[in-house]
Amino acid sequence: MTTSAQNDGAPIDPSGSVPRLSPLGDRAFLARFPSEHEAAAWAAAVTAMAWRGVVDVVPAYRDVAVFADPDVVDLEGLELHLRALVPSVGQAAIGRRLVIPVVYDGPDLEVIAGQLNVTLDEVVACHTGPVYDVFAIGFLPGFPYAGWLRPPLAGLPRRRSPRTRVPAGSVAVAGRQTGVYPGESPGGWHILGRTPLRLIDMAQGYFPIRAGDQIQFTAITADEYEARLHERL
Amino acid sequence: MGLIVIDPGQAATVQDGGRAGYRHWGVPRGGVFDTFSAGLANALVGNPSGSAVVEFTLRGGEYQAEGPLALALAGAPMPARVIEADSSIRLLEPPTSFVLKPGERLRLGVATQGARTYLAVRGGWQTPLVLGSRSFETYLRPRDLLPAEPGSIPVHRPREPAWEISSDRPFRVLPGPDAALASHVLEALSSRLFHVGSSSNRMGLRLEGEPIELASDPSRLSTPVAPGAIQLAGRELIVLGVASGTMGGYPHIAQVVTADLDRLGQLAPGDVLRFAWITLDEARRIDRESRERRRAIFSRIAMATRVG
Repeated sequence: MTTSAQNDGAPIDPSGSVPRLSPLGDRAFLARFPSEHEAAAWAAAVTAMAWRGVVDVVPAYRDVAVFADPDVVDLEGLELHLRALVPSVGQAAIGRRLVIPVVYDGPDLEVIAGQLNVTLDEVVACHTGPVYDVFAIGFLPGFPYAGWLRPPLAGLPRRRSPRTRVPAGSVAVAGRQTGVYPGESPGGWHILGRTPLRLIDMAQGYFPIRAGDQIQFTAITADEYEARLHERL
Repeated sequence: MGLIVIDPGQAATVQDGGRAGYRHWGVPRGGVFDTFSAGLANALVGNPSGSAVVEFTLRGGEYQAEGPLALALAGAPMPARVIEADSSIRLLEPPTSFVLKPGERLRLGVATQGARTYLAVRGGWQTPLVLGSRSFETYLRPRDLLPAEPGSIPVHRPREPAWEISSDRPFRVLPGPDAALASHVLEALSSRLFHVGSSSNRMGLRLEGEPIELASDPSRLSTPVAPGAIQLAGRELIVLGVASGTMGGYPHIAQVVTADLDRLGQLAPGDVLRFAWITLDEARRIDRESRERRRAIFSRIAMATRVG
């Protein structure tokens, strides 16, 4: 019971270079940072070290999980390395900027416009305006968690009753976040529209969006949607 | 050549060691839920531990051989019999290796204890490989063919290890990253009994017990999680299973130690479970001992199988 309390006690370094590191079970660590930027830089630094026995480095917002194989690496030794690691300036790799075409005809669009007391066009303009940072990939293979949404679109709570079936390609929002469902899944976010593009191809190991990339949405017509259906992002 | 599904039982899937190293793309590791039992079935046919096996849940079903197959069954005890070509019956006593001749059927009943039973074939099931793994969450259906190489093997029944009922011992836990949010939940976790809910599956197990109150934080961001994570979802605790997603939004209160994850896979709806806190040092020691023990058992079986 005392283990995580000891590890959680580390103060947050004001320069942001030292994470608050705690165990994530007995074969992984969770590093927590004051900002998304510091977490991304540290994740890039850990990945770049390519330590033997480090199985996966998973950035997500201000957290980074590091999974290790105790058959290959001594976990106490790895923890010391992780605590001592200081990312060099600019280590967070510059991500790519990807443009995702969307037909804005989603089942929640009108309800949202009504709730926010704005026109459909204003909802679309609000969603297509910003360039979003991708903070994490997860929950589903290839699902980008991106943000931040701007007012008035930001701040919608998740649907009270999640849909049991959200189609692949659905573009959705919740809270300050936006994302795209790469495959069919249950989901509680509000669906604004759909992209014709394939966001992943598991069999080919094709995962074009990575944490650290930027995405921007652009409005297309239903005809353009049909023309580009199943094209890869 | 291979095995034809006649009746896929309650929920049968093909699983192996899973997809390691793709969590940053949102791809969970997945793979067999009880890695020891699957490894035991594989060892009995001379396979490496992570070869593809069929994972049966609660009821096994019925399967017919398309050629001579060298097979092994291990895991949750299930009545197991071979229906021979002339309809006579040969009883199997798992864990055991055995052969199905062309046309013979394997008939598996309902698990008498535990939840998951594994069927290995010499060389592993040759179902499609994606991102280095044959694991899929898709349930087998009648008339599916599980491809495999033909083979033969003597019947071998290892004397150890004895089958252990999962809920007999407490599940050992470490504090999760959000333990500090919820000291009263920590207290509840180790002092109460929980029942495994009926909607439990490879994604997660619901723990039914007295409701637990914790103020929710709507601005909470999702964070990486792993199988064995105990989260407070609303007023109910859930334990993430082997096929759970890579990220979660609920407070992560505690984490089942790696050495006890296999036992999670053998819990059936209605089972009672308890938790006990241990330290990180103890968890790592138990994990090391557990890995050494399984290596020793599998290599002994491999030797015995080779001698015949």
